[in-house]
Amino acid sequence: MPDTRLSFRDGIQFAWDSTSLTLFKECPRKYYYTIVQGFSTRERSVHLDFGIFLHEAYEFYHRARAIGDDHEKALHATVEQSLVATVGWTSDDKYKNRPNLIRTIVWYLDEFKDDPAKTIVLSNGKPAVELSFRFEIPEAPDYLYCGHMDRIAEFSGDLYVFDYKSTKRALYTEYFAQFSPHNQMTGYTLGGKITFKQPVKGVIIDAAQVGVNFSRFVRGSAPRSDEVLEEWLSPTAYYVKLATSYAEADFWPLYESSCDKFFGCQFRQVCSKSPRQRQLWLEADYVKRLWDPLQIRGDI
Amino acid sequence: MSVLAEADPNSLQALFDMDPLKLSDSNKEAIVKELRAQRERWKQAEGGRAKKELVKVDLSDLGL
Repeated sequence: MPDTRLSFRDGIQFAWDSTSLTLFKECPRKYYYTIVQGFSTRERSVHLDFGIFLHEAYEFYHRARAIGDDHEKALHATVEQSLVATVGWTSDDKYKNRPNLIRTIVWYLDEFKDDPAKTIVLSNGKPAVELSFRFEIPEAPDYLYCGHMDRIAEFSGDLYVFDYKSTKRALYTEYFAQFSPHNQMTGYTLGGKITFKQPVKGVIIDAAQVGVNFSRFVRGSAPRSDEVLEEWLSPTAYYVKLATSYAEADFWPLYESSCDKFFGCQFRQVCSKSPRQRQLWLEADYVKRLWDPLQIRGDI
Repeated sequence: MSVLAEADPNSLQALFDMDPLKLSDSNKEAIVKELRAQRERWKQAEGGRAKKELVKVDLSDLGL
């Protein structure tokens, strides 16, 4: 089947997002299998599904509020939308499952019913929720950096990109430390500044700890100074050019130090086979789910 | 069935199992109501736990 992804040209990725950049930095071989070839484990991640449903629900709610619905009306419509969206979704996970998703949505929306963070309205009159962004990487003008952000809102007199995360982990200060430095948060800040021309100061993360019988929420921040943003751009240009040189040479080095990160790389059993056997293992044990960073999800 | 009757915790799973397009307004209200009641119960339990932990603090804990 031909690769029709918008973010690739002649088999080489020119539009990058935090997922592909983070994977490439973690291990070029993992990036090659996941992004270039599009291999993924057969089981869909319940964490990924839970996160997507949660994002969709919050987006739905913020759009409803932006057009004038009050909290109760918007919340009830959001619950209905989420129940419809999750029909047929099954999860055996004791934390991230359908009832706990609906609970998390209702508890979060009630918790932030009188949210001091106010979603801004863009110059096109639309609320700044679920925004797709893209910009040229300054030192690599043939490449784009792109992504999707949840919303831009004013908080304590400044503008921030807001992002939602869900976790089983307790939300101590250390939880938020992981977002600085962090490709995704730096990219969001740049996207807000460059694509939407808003003086955003960084990202505010609304994190939900999803327990068996409760959902707890903590708001944390990942500020970015202009110096930090500038500093991030040069190595990003370096990495995307390096990936192109790897693709042209069909050379995908393995970073062994990454093999056991995050409970073990999903391709560990493939990389442990001899080179000529690897493709057969990939075809047999994995499914193709092509990732296309340029696929637009919301407004641009 | 009244909204209050539907708000029984045991009925929440039954409501989740229904075709969401066939949920009545009172069904949806019952879901939200029960989830809010769960939140209140959890907050009270959390508050109780925090108080209990505070009571435990004693000068002898300082080892003086």
